[in-house]
Amino acid sequence: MMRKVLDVKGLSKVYGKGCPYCRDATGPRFNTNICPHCASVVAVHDISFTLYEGEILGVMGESGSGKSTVVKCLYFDETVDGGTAHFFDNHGQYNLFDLFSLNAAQRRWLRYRRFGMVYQNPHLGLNFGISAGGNIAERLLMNGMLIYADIRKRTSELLQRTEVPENRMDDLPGHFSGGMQQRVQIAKALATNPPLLFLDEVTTGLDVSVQASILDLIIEIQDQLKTTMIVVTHDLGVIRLLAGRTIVMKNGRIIEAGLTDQILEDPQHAYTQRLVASAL
Amino acid sequence: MTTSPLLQIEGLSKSFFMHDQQKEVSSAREVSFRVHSKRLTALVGPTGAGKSSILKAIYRTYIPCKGQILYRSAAGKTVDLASADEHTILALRSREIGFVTQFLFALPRQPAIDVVASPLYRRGLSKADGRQKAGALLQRLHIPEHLWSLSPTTFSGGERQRINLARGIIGRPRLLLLDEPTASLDIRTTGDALEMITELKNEGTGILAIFHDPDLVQKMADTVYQLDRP
Repeated sequence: MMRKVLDVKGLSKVYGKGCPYCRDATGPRFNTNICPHCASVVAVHDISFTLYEGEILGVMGESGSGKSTVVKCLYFDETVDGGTAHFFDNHGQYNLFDLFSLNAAQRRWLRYRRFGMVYQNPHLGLNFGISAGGNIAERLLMNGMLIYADIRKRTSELLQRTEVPENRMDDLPGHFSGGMQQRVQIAKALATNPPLLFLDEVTTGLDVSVQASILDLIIEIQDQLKTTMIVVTHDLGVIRLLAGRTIVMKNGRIIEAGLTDQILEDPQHAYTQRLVASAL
Repeated sequence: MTTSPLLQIEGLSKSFFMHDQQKEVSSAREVSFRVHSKRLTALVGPTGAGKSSILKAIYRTYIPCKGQILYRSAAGKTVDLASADEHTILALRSREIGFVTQFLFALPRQPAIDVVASPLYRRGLSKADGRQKAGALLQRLHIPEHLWSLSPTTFSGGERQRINLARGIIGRPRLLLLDEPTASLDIRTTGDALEMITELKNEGTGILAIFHDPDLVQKMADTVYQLDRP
């Protein structure tokens, strides 16, 4: 029996003061997400989807379509303006979290213990002032691991899993290559074995061979840990290799959702057809 | 045939609407046929008759426009693959329905043996057990052992096709869709591939296949359905 992990309904986020016309005057029909009346940006509107344990959901769309905003809202990097999201913690003491009505302490608890996030920009996910190992140790400390030897052991396990040479554990992330910084971010995100992982354009900007190894790592993690993931990317190749289901966004709205191979081979919406045709 | 079919297709139609050109292209119209367990059903017809489209519609890579695709699942339920929700389709794909196409999509760095074993890993089998089973299949398909640890993206067309076939049959699906599974194989490996397909059939799998070679159809098929251009 498949277990639900996340249920998002009607998620909305507007940057700016907003007006009563914002939602009706933006979207794919008008080919913009900027309200002509008040100039607010309707970053996402009415986003709904359900995630089951162990699945990878792809979120695809061009720059500015709102795909990163979706995961940022769910990871509490952004506040939301509407909608609900329920997280089902199948392994924890509590089993249901109404994400957008939690207090700061509860949000922090989820961020540190149940969610993992890997950003496109390693500067957002890592503290560049402390060593790679220190970054991971920080997460473990917050999670209640207090014995130095245990932390060191777990950190080295995580770096080994993400193929970061163990002897670089005490180096600053700034001294690493881009691909290795992403690996440290993934190691940090995995530190607490989170059931839900957000990956925001993790392979963008990396060279092709490094991209391939990061994708391999993600699949391996999913095979072994059954981590549920949301993968945000504009790269159709990444979507094809990773995601079982995909949603396509444009101007802050979902315009199409389906099985990934169906989205790529039999796209229904005019925009998706153009997107797929221009990529192949 | 008295047993109820594994797959029953009723009035299946598929067309594509190209928004850019405002044009509709029909690829299959009002197709009906049945697939039984322990039998190989072949679809034959000229290019453009919609043979591959029908396989893809059954696998739901294509969304059928009309008709029903009734599949009798291992749990004894009848599922309409044309309208079932995506999670049901994904669950069936991982446990019951296999699809072998002419093209192989694999992770760039994954060793061939893991590509073949990947359906087993997804079911929770350990790496050692998965590799053992995959190795046995690769041996039978004459993939030299020194290639097993390499990514199949570097392989020849025929080798890739064998990897694809091995991946498709390793999970012992209840329904197997084959789209020209031997198109780029030589005589010897074609023979081995066909033998494995026949074995799977005898174990109970219902097979729906497209072969480009009329001799293969005659040799392999228990039932043949002729399709015409829509």
